[in-house]
Amino acid sequence: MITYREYVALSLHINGEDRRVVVRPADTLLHVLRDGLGLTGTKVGCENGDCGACTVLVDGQPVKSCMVLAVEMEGSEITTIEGLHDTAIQRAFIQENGFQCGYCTSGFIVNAYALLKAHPNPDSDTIRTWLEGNLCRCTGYEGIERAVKAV
Amino acid sequence: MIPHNLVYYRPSSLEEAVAAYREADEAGLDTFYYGGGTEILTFARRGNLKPGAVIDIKHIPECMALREEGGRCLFGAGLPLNAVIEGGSFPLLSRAAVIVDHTVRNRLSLGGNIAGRLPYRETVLPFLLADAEARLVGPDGERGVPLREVFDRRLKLESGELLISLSVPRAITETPWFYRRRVRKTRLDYPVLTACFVKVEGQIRAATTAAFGFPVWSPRFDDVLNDGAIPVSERPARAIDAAGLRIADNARASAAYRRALLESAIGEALDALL
Repeated sequence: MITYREYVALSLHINGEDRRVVVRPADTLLHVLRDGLGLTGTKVGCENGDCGACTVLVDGQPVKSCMVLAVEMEGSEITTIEGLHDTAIQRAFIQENGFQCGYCTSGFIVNAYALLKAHPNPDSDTIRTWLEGNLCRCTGYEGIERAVKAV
Repeated sequence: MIPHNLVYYRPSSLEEAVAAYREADEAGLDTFYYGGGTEILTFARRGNLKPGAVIDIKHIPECMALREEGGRCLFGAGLPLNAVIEGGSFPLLSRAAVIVDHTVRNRLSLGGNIAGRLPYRETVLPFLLADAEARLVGPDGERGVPLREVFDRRLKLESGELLISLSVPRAITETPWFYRRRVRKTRLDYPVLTACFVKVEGQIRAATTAAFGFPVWSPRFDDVLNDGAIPVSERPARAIDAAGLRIADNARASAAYRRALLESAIGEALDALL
């Protein structure tokens, strides 16, 4: 049985790299990504699981990093927005004006990336189901839906 | 950010989980079995909960089981809701587990939804209707009990006890069913009414949550639904009265509104299943 009590030197596999970081067992993955590892593309929003700004992929599945302990992530493959480079969904967000202020965008793109892996040609219902956990206060979502459909 | 620290245990067996609970409890820590963490972590951040220790059950094989054996469908308490939905062996459960959003459902666990602090516990409804057996383990060992014996508004566990899994007879998962969920604004809201119905051997069974503020399955309620001496149109109102419970009345929805929704849902269910 693994037990962590105080500070832990944790090895996490993030964006294809092994990263070492010291965490408290109570630290969320969001906090460790940003403040421990400098991966600030993952955004702090509500920290309550409502807004989706902090979405990352854990073993390919979208997860809200504010609702996960970093110590749970040993052995998992984590992908943040920094791990995506010139992907089709990123290009589509630019082409279809899928963002305005950009604060929610990394969460949307990471989630949409996983959606398109699972469903390469999603219908509108599938897009809404997968992305309903991400909030955008600027775009009205139409550009985001167009971007997903454009890939 | 969670302002206080906690002890994290990751057992790989039920015995280790129970030992971890005993150790943390003897150390005076407020200890929680931990599935997806969605409720514990958000409550801890807000200061509504101060867990001293969490015991992560996701590496215990029995808690992650999703299979059919001996004519029963088995669901581990640590399964994320999306796994339960996509598992697909119990259609009413797959429908009732569509709560919160898709991303959260990748973490929110079946056991967490049933044994957590939020009062709705929507995924327990299909199990209450389907003669479910709950497997539990605690300081006194492992036991299997009918879910209805250990669930009254919430799961009644002994100190240190863990919900391992729930199982239901395969035959009941294949019976006709009806489902209604009503929310105030968007489908991500907490429900103002969730109602599940099944028809087993010609008899309708109903379970509901949110209307009364907590999950309810009542034999008196079911007796009215199946009473041929009562006109079908009168059964919804009389079933609600027979339950003998106060309907929730708060800013989310008035008691009168919830009652109207519940009567409507029962009427639809009777139309579909009678």
